[in-house]
Amino acid sequence: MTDQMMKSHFLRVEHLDKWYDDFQVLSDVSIDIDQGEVICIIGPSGSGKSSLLRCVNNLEKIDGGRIYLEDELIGMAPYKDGFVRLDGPVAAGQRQKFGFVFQQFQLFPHMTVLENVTVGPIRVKGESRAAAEKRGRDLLDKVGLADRATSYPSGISGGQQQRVAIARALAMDPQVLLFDEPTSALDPELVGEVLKTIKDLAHAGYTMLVVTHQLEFAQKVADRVVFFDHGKIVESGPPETVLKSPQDPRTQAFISAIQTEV
Amino acid sequence: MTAESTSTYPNDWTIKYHRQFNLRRTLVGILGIAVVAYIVFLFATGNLQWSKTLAYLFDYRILTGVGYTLLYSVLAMVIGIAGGSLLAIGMMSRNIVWNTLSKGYVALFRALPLIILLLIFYNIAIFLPYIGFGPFQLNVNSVVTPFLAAVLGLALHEAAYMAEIVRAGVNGVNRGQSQAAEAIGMTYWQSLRSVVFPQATRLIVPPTANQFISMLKNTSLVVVIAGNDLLTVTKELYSNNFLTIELLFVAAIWYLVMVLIFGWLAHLIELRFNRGA
Ligand SMILES: Nc1ncnc2c1ncn2[C@@H]1O[C@H](COP(=O)(O)OP(=O)(O)OP(=O)(O)O)[C@@H](O)[C@H]1O
Ligand SMILES: [Mg+2]
Repeated sequence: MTDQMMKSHFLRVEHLDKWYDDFQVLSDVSIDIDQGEVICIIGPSGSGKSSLLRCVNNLEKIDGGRIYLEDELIGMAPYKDGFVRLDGPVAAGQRQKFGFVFQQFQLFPHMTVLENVTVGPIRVKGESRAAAEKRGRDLLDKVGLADRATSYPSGISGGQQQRVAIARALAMDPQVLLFDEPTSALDPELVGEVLKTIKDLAHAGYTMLVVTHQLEFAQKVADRVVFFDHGKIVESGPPETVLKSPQDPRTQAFISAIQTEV
Repeated sequence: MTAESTSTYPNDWTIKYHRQFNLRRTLVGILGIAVVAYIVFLFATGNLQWSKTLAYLFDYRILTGVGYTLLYSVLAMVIGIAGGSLLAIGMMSRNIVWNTLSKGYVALFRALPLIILLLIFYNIAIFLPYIGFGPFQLNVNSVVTPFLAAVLGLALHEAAYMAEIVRAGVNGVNRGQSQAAEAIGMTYWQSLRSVVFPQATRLIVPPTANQFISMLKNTSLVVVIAGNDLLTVTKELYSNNFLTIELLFVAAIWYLVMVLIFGWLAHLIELRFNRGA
């Protein structure tokens, strides 16, 4: 405990285990992240990347390990000789600290673009409608969608929807942004606009965990790249190392497979 | 496209189809007409005074019965929808007590025939003469009128069916939606209220409209506790004047009219709700 406190990183994922029934989807996953750091996670389908992100912000219960954000234990609290899982408003309060951007956008289809962005601040934080809308419009402007405030999600393109989803996450003033393959559901010509938005956020100093198959993006934006396979971290390090001269044969195979897939 | 253009550019490739005479098809058609004609003939020549049916159609007692039937349907549906929503939440709850109670309720009330429920509620005072605690005692006999027994029986029965409809509606909303709601810091209740329920409505309203139509017909079971509904007044009238079939036809016509009108409304609602999304 004491040596952990001394080298306290902003976000600490320590020895994470996660099971779905009798299938172990994450085993002993540890990542330390400093404030402002951008981590890109790559790895084959089904390797547990999405599960990792959902565990980090406590959308799913973890079975082993600890997660700390600024030394606050996430998702559970010590109780007797063990822990209790947090739920209700306390868990919801912790989740606010993480912005989550989903592969399938998951905008609320019954709300306008602006309402999607303001519903969190109004319902969860209790902000006034006027204040939330002003801030919401600023955020939409930031992701280049100021003119779409009154549209419904079904009336805008996938790339625009994903940018609204990013604005919705930002509206809660998260301390960490989690992106789960934010461009995988997009037509190729729409990928660029979303990646550009994420890149701007990285440059603005957000702490981010980005699951992506866009190696070029990872190369440019990531401080560190983590290669994930079968629920384990296989290799991690600066993008030049992991992407250009990977050490582990599995990483080499994955990267060459992605690059030849045309 | 126009006749003019066809004549200017005659198209030799068009096909004009004719319907060829088909003996089998013609005979089958004639058979159908004959069956219907025979049934009409039976009704027209049977021992029936059609004029009485017409005379009673707008009798004020019949109209009162129609009013009660509508009132029962609306009250039972309103209570049934509210109760069914609570039960649905209970069935999805992680609280084991509420979960078990809700599931037990639904299983029980879907298993019991409605007519038994109505009779039990009507006769409830036999085993429960008083309810309350301490000085607050309620004489059940004076409270449980046929009206109350009818509303309770219909509503509690309906709640069990609505619970399944609401639950199916909620389950029909993409799991990712509640995750997205939770990811921006909403609690379970906030996400149900602001995100899941509004989207589930689309799936819940059309079957609910159909439930209302079944309810219109199910209210006729209230006849066993003489609840003043359409069938009860019909029965009272014909036990006095013995115009049994004539009056049953009056009731049948009114049920038909109500079901057709509300069926049409339900259809409009369904169209509207399928258009969104
Ligand atoms: N709720 C769940 N219940 C049971 N198994 C699950 C559940 N969610 C995911 N899994 C399984 O866990 C494994 C990892 O899934 P996960 O979605 O985390 O992988 P991933 O690396 O994100 O893959 P992809 O690139 O396809 O998104 C998969 O085999 C998946 O089938
Ligand atoms: Mg995934």
